[in-house]
Amino acid sequence: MTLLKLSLKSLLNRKVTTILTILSITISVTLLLSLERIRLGARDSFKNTISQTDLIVGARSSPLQLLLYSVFRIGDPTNNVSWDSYQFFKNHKETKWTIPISLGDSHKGYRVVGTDQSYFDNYKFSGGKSLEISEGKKFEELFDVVLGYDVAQKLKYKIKDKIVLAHGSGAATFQDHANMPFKVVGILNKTGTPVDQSVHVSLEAIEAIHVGWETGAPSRDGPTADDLLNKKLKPTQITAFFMALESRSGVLNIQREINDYREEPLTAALPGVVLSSLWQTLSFVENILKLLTTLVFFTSLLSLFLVLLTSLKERRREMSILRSMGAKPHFIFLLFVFESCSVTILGISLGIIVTFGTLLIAGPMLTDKFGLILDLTQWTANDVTYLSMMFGAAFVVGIIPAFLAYRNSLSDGLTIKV
Amino acid sequence: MPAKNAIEISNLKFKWEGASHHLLDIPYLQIPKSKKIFLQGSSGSGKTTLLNLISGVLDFKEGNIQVFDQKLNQMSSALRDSFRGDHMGFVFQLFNLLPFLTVAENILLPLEFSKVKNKKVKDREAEVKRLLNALELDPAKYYSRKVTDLSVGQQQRVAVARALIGSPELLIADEPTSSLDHDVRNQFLKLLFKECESHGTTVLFVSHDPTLKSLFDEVISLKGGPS
Repeated sequence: MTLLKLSLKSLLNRKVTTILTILSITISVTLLLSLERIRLGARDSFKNTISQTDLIVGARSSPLQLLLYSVFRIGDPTNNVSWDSYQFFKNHKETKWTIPISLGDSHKGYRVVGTDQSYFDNYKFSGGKSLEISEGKKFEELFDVVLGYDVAQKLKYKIKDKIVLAHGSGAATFQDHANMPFKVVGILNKTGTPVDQSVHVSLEAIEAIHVGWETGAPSRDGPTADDLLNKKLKPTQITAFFMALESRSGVLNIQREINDYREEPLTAALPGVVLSSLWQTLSFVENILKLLTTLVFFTSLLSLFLVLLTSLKERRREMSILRSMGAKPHFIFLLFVFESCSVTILGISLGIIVTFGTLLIAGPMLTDKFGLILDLTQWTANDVTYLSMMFGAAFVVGIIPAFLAYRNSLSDGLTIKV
Repeated sequence: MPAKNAIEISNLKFKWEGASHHLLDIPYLQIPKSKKIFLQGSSGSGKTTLLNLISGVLDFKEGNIQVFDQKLNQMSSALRDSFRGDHMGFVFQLFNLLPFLTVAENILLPLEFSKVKNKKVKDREAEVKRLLNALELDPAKYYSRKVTDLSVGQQQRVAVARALIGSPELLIADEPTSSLDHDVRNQFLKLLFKECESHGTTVLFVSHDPTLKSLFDEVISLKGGPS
């Protein structure tokens, strides 16, 4: 009781340094916890880039490459999937739905995705969220285009704007499909996935803009847009397709069936597995974040240590007085330990409150701007480990000055020179 | 049989570790109960060391120190700490008080460390007020004051009140007047003595100021240290 009262009053007496120390601990705890939340959010968002899709199918390649070009729209496919093969698996008895993906064109560096209505109906992300149209409607006409959120934002496009697609990917392509302008009919909501950076058109549109390109370059007497509008276009090939099955338990059988498909060399990948292994390769980002947090934490520990050490000198007299009244040396020791512990506990508690307060307020903004979904209710073993490690470290750091005070109080006796 | 002497020292030899000479070499010294003793000695004569020995803060190997019939070298250091808390009160030269406590909290602090002293004080508030009155500090004005608001002379009187609460048998004062000017010093001593006499407290007063000698019952001189 005496210990509690004395240490609290003594801390209050040194209000400014105490508050500063508490604040520095608060800041590092806040950073640590926020980073952990963001790390988890980033991981979840990443792993949920695509969900409820059981298989991703493309031309024979590595599953990682398939995932990169079909889901993340990074890199180029090695080959295409024929329309017949697609139809075969689309109509397979185990198949619930499929989404065809046709890549190869771009608009100002953003990938053009040729697909069909199934994309809007069945594409799921973040554990089951559907794509939503924020403005306008889905594509219906041949030259309709639906923009991902970021594309519309960055390029400042509105509904009814005309855009021209370019052949090939990358911002600096020289071959435009200038003769066939598209009309923006819809803009999607923010998803935090590569969908935001995609330009969506129908499969027929992809086919249309390439009529006359069979040699790989535009022919001189190519058709005009009007010619094509009246023509019934049928896709002959797509780049990849997403597939959901009636029963998930059959997924490995279907995967094998696709991989062994005799008509065409195909690869079927399990998106969850590939996403996890891809995230593993990105773990260095996580480690850098962790390292930074640890550094911040050590800085605040150092400041706690210095504050205690500085106060040690000013307080030698105080310790002598307590000793003269019969306080045992271990009382002096505990007094210091108690002070460092209360400062740490206060700092950590405040840090927890600040973290959750901030994320509660800033959470919707993070979701909006970065597509990060932060789950505040999720406490991980990491959090508990970090916090107890912080407390443990602070305890150890507090012990050193406490021990010095203890030793001083033995050697100083009751009279010290001031 | 109650002790006749407050402190009895025999064959005490003390030297710091690594030192070649004994700092203290006291064949025999007795300090009778309820007397006011003036302990005189130049700096370096070992006054402070002797006080630390008597109060049980320092260990010693040779000789005997008995305080109220208790042999200090037979006690563990923890026991000596309790013994000090129970039976002694201290006043130092300067900065006697904890700056973050009020006057009353400072005075009452020894009761937190000693069951013996705590038991002797029935009504804490009344005792603090009585001591403040006896030391001519108006309780109405000073009871809840921050000690940092007080003058040095007033602080020393609060220190005396703290040393005397719970009526310890021995008051050890280490140059408590050296920071006070002449008039304040005389008044301080007068009040200190009055309060100690009324309780039969033994006073061991250390000072290098020989003009104070005449006010004490006995004078003990410590010879200079190794020369």
